[in-house]
Amino acid sequence: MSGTPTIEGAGGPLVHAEGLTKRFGATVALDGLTLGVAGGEILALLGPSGSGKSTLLLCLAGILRPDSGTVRYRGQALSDMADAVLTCLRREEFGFVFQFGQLVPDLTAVENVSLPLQLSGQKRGLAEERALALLTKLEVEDRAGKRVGEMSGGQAQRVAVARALIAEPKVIFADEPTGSLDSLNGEVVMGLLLAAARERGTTVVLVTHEPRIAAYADREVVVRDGRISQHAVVP
Amino acid sequence: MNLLRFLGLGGRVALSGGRGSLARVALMAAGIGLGVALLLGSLAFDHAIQAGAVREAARYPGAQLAPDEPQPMNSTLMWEWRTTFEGHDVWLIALHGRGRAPVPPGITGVPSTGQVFVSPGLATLLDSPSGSLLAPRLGGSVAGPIEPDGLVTPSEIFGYVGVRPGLKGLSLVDGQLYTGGSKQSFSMLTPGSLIVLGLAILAFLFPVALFVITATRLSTATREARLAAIRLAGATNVQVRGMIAIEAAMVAVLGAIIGCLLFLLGRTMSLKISAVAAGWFPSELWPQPVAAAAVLLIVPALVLLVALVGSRRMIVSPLGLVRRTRRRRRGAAWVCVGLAGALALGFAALGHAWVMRQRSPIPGVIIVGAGLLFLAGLVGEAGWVSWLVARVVGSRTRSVSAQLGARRMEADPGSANRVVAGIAVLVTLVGLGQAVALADARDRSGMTYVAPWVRDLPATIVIAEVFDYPVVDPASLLNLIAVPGVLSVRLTRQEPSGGVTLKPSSAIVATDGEPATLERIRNAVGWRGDAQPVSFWRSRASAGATERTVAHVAQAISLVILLVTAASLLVSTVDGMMERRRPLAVLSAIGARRSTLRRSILVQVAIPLAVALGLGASGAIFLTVTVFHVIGERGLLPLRPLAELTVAVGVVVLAVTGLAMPWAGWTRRADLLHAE
Repeated sequence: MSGTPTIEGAGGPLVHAEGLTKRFGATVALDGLTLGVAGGEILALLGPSGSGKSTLLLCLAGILRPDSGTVRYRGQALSDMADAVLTCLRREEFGFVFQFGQLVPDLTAVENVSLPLQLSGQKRGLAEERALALLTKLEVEDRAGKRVGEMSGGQAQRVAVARALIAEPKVIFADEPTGSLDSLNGEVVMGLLLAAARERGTTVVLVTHEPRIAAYADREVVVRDGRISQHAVVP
Repeated sequence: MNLLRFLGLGGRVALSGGRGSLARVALMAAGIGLGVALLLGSLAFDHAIQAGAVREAARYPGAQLAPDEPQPMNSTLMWEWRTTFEGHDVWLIALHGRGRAPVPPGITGVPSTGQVFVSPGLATLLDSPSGSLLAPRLGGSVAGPIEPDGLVTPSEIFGYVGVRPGLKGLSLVDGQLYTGGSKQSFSMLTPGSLIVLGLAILAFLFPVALFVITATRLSTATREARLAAIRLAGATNVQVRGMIAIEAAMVAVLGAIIGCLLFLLGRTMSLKISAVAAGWFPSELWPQPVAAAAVLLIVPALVLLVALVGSRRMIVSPLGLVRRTRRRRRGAAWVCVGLAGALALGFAALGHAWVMRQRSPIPGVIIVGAGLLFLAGLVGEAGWVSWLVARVVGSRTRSVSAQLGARRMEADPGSANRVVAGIAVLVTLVGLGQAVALADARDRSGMTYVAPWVRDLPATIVIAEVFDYPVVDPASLLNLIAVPGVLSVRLTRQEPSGGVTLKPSSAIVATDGEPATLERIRNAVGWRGDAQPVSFWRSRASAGATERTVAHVAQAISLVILLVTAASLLVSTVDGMMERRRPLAVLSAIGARRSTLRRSILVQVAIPLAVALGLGASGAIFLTVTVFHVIGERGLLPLRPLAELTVAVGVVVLAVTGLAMPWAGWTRRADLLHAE
């Protein structure tokens, strides 16, 4: 144990990382970090560029394997899971929103949003019906038949939020979801994402370097040099 | 900035974009190199063909003796004898010299009566176990070899025979004076063969050009961003275009060097193939220096020109690159063009009797025009059809993989369109060409038309036709029954060329099927030391070898074309994945299985090739049926070659998909998701 402070939500950790270490060559991205995220909690990971917050998010989501340490989801170690099981977990339990380049450019908005459902085996027609309903809720239904190149950055990000929400995931991992947007669009996207999450009791792990965006969270954790340097419950 | 520094900067910019830029330059240079090598190879063969034609012309007689004119002093009289032995054409020239007689090339003096000079090919045939059946036709004994300067090809089966005029069939009237050969060389290739050769070279060059075009599209986004960054750093538009030109020039020069190396390698390797070594003298298998220099100058100049013309349509601003091109889909219009051609051909087929009766060339011109219209329509509509299929599949399919693959093709159909158009036309032409060649091989024996009754005879039948009544009495053909291996002989009035004579002129000879029996029959009646008064017609089994050769050549051409096209598809597929690696990585992050991505690539590769094959096969069958119907011939549908092409395309689809897999795996890398 590295002695890094650990804060867990009131409902017990849904996702729990312990002693995570990750190196990229000589660069230490995570240095024995321990963190827990409770069910329904909205957690903001703050920190300067290169502090390791995105690496932490990818490790928590089971996309990146840490060099050492364990990530547990509902008590099960992700490192023990086979790639196919992890893929299934990400498809059915997790949702993702990234900063840019996350929509498949060849697909229309409605096709992008319905992808997680189709990947889970749902029929295309039904999946697209649900996708359209979600796009309507996020006020981008008029872009349903358009591709990424025919949408503004804000509209594309709302479509990405819809895709993250459609499979009703237990956890949403969002990496700088407003990083490529102006403040107004950033506010709108965050409002929509968090409203939907709170409505469904979804856990959100949010990476940002903007305190304004972090203020939407229940709890803020500051990552610096691969360690948690500060944590605070947002009032 | 002085010119040298600018050139250096341009070169560095072209190569400094990491692996993507290097791959782009390398693949473009490789494609250009392949094209240069093909052109140099074609020129080398052309040179060798011409050199052979000059040597052949050196054998030709120069004058005919007047009737009753005696052979002048200091002259050489020649008679041409040709025979066939076990499927080989044997060319003999009988010579009689008087005084200081002119000597044909390859020998030191005119052979005296009974002396035979033979080429290495003829010597080998004479030394073979069945050579004893050929020896009697030479009319003498072997006195020495013919040197290479007297041979058209190293393996030519050729001989000079010393004779005495007055022998049966060696009248002075039939002899011709040899005066040192003809100065005018005759190409060994007929105009038809030249057209086929030209089409074959074009057929090879087309996919190579396709490959180069595909390579130019590599890492487009990265390259455009780099050019914009250079503008942002202060370069003028002219300077940026200059850098584009430097990159093109660099690629062109590199391509020319690679082309020379590939040509040398190909030449060395091809000379190890027995058919090439037998057909060509290695010393002549080089392009003429002027022609080679022209290729090495014109190809790079063309590449540079294309790059400069292309760059005129680009506006490079500090914010990015914009192309002044309009996105047009005129597929429907091209369908109308193709349909117009098809309708004209259809009408011509329906009224074929009227068409064939016309003396005017206009109906023929209209039919050829209709065929070209049909092909033009095929080229124009192919890409559109492929795009349409992708659109329909993308919007209707229930499979995520098919949706991803089809939508990808629909969004960026550029490379696929070129592949589809190229393959569709090539399959059509290869199919039609094979049908024509197969029908030709079926209907013809040597250079003469064979009537249907001959081709329907069993394989063991030989037809002996008397065409010189004073020399041979057709009834004497009945004596062939005494030849070992002959089972029965029956005289007929039917001519192998289709006519009917008043008296029997041909004999239908049933044999045991052994090749030696045919040679014995030839020796018995067809060769008496004189000109051949009896001609022999092969029954259908003999044409099998020709059919097989045609099929093998067509298969080899199709295979090479398919391989180069597959390389283009692989490059564009992999580049597409590299350009979209982040969305693909996100797709993996949200739970897309590895197999989903794999199948999407399969669909992406399979749709254009399947559409191309479908269109090409339909085109080939339609053209075969209509063209043969117009000329009133019984056509052969090229179903087998098309089936083989289908299998080959299937293998290409799987191979391209399999080779693209490592990159599909690479796009699952988590570090592609980093935003920082």
